[in-house]
Amino acid sequence: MMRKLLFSTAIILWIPRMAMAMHIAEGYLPLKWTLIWDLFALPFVILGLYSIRKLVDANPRLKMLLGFAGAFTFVLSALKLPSVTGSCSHPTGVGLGAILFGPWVMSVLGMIVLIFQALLLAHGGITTLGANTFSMAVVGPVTSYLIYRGMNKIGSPRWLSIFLAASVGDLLTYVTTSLQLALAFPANPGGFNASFLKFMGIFAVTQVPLAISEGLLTVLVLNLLASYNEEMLTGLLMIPKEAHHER
Amino acid sequence: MLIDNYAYSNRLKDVHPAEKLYFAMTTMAMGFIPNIYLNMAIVSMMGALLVFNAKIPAKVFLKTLLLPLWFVLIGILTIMINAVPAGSSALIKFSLLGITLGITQESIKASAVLFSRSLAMVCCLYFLAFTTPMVDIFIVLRSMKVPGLFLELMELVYRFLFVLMETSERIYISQSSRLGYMNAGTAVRSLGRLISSLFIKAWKDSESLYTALEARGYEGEVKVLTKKFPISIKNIFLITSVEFLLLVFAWLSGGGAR
Repeated sequence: MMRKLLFSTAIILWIPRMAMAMHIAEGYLPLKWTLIWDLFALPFVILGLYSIRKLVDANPRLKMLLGFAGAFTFVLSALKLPSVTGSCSHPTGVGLGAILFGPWVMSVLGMIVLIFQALLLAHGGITTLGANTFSMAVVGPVTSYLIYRGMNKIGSPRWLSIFLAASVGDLLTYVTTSLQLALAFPANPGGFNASFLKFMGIFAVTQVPLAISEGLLTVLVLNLLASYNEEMLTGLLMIPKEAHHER
Repeated sequence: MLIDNYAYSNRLKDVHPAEKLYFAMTTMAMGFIPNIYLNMAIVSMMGALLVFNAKIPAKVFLKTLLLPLWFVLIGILTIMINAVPAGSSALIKFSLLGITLGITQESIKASAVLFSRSLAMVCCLYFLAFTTPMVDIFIVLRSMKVPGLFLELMELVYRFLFVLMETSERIYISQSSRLGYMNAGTAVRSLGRLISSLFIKAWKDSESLYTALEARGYEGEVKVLTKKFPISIKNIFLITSVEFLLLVFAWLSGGGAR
């Protein structure tokens, strides 16, 4: 009886809600891991600031656009994304941002968005800012960007590279979050591996369908933008190229 | 955004923002001490300050307190339930897919510490969020020598956020009044259109904003007048002594979790 009750409560609690709770909440990480993730996230944000400084010095107009891009990411995260399983979540906009603006810019904008989410929407927090920045504004965008670039290089159709970039970027964000939680809270029998497995298990159930819908959504959005004004889009895609000095 | 509304209208809005930031941050640091009693003291102190001093309605405060609860509860259940060896002394045991899962006394203790710490720190965050407008936080950050470019971007994002939020709400209403969110298929399509038009609007607005600013002599920096706040020695003294009292309390109640 007890067992059944516990199990069904767990199901009711877990499945539809986990999707909404993707930011590590305030005070959730112990001091040690708070500081470690701050240190991990910091160099990427500094790198991002340098690349933004360069961009803005070359074209002052971009500062306004970046301001709007940050606000756009924030609004995206407040929208409800219907998932395949019927539950609702919020698109992360990680892939879209990385493809449009490049990963370094996104590390700064992502951190700003996370600060506002903590102070205005009570998502995430100040002590977990480093950890959340690292998973959502560093790992996610960098993965998305690399996949997008790599897939384009081997000549895959654009929709496929966008889809993979957005959905894999989304998934890796949650893998990173599970990793952060598992490192901070190793299971008592089983240690880090068992704990990582537990957190990944929950994320796998809820995040795979969400990653797929986010991928589809990103393809849709970029296609609509391309049909609206192809020139504008390629103009935007220039940003990461300049930031990287790739060509 | 409810929290932002209260930030501009609460009774503590005229207190120097640096004092509020100092109070919230030191109390938050105090929350890292693994002591359930201390954490509960922080929760009640922050709650009382918000409801009685800042005059935030208790209902609003409690409702926002529920927001991070899902993450915290799910995370805690995940930490509480472990795979245990079959013959171990778990309080509750059940098997799933051939693995024996159980809750042990230690795992309950660990979860209790985690829960109370998270709750205490969330209350500190809410104290800051409910009493201090973002604009005032920018003033403090500027005096703390946060890189100018970062701050400027923050200010721009904060301003545009409301513009885009309102636009997206309007588009959403007009789409759903035309059955745009009838089922999952139409919802994805409508959302795609919403996001792309939102993006185009953001892009165009940024262009015209720049033109407008340049016409008014913009040279790479938006200059605004900042509000002057009186520094209260009394408040700083009070905050410091409260933090000291909390430390004494933590020491007297002897760890709590241990």
